[in-house]
Amino acid sequence: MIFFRTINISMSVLFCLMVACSSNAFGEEQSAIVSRLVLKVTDRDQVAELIIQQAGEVEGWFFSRTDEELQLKVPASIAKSFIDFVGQQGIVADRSYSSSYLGDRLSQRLASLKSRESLLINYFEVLKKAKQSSVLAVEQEVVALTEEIEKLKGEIRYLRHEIKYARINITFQFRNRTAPVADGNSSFPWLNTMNLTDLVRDFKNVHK
Amino acid sequence: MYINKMIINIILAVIIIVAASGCGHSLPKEQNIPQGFASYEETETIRAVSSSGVMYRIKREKNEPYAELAFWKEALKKRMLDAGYIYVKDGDIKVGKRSGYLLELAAPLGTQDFTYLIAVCLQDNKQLVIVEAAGEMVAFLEKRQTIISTIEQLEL
Repeated sequence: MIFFRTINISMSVLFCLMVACSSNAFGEEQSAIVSRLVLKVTDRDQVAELIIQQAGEVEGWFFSRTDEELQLKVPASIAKSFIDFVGQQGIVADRSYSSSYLGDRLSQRLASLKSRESLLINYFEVLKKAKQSSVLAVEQEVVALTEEIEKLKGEIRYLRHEIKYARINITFQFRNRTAPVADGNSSFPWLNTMNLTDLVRDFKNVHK
Repeated sequence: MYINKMIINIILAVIIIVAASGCGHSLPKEQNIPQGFASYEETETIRAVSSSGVMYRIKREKNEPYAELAFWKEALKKRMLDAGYIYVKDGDIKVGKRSGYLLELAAPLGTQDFTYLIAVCLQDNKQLVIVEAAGEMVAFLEKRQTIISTIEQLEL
């Protein structure tokens, strides 16, 4: 009896591990990756050109470029190595990396699409046999359903695109330009003297 | 009479020399300044600057309220991050022969982005020795290793 219970527990643990592993792998494949980097370089144009060229070589592309910012899409499968490449082009002052699971949304849209499409087939069957008085009503339903199907297809295309390509956002300086506060709120007096603005001012005033 | 005058003159000369050396400020020890930096005359604070505008300053503060380095590590990091600095890295460092803490931060300043490096250690438990260095990020990176090496060899 105990022997069978032990086997049952072991099987359950094994099953849980398998589910965890498979969902993990699934999660990796069905996630949208967004990475943001603040990159400090001496020549922004030169580095931007190099990054765009590298993106092209890995079947990626840039979709926005200004003097301060560069936004690219690269295949998600090579996102991490591409981010490493970008990091090597200067000093990474700040970085973030997020991966949001879109698998549930995609599955739900795919299921909705399937049910709507089979419903549409049914409507066409109904339409064939419909009396003249009810044709208009069925046609209206068909039109609405077709619109819904197109919308779902669009969403699915968007989700698949988001999963397939990682979004890489490179800024060449901090976006938030608010300087840190020097409010002197610390209970420890010397800590209140630690301030970049005051340090710079001290060097400007050293001759006075 | 002549001997007395001579003694008075010698004493005056000595007084003038001693006074002169006491009033003026000398330059800080060479090993306390990063290589390639120009130093200002030493006061209670040591200051130096590189040709690319990277600033370097050593100052002392009383260890008040009295606390160990571990306490100041946490307090310093919390205060700077609360103030809005961007954390880059931190870790232990030798400040001369003493155990110290190194905190590297980043922050926008005007149109530029700056690196702000702070190293702190305790001297005889009564004083905190604080080394600060800051400069535009790219310019700072070129001097970073020199600055770190200088901190590690500080003669306090």
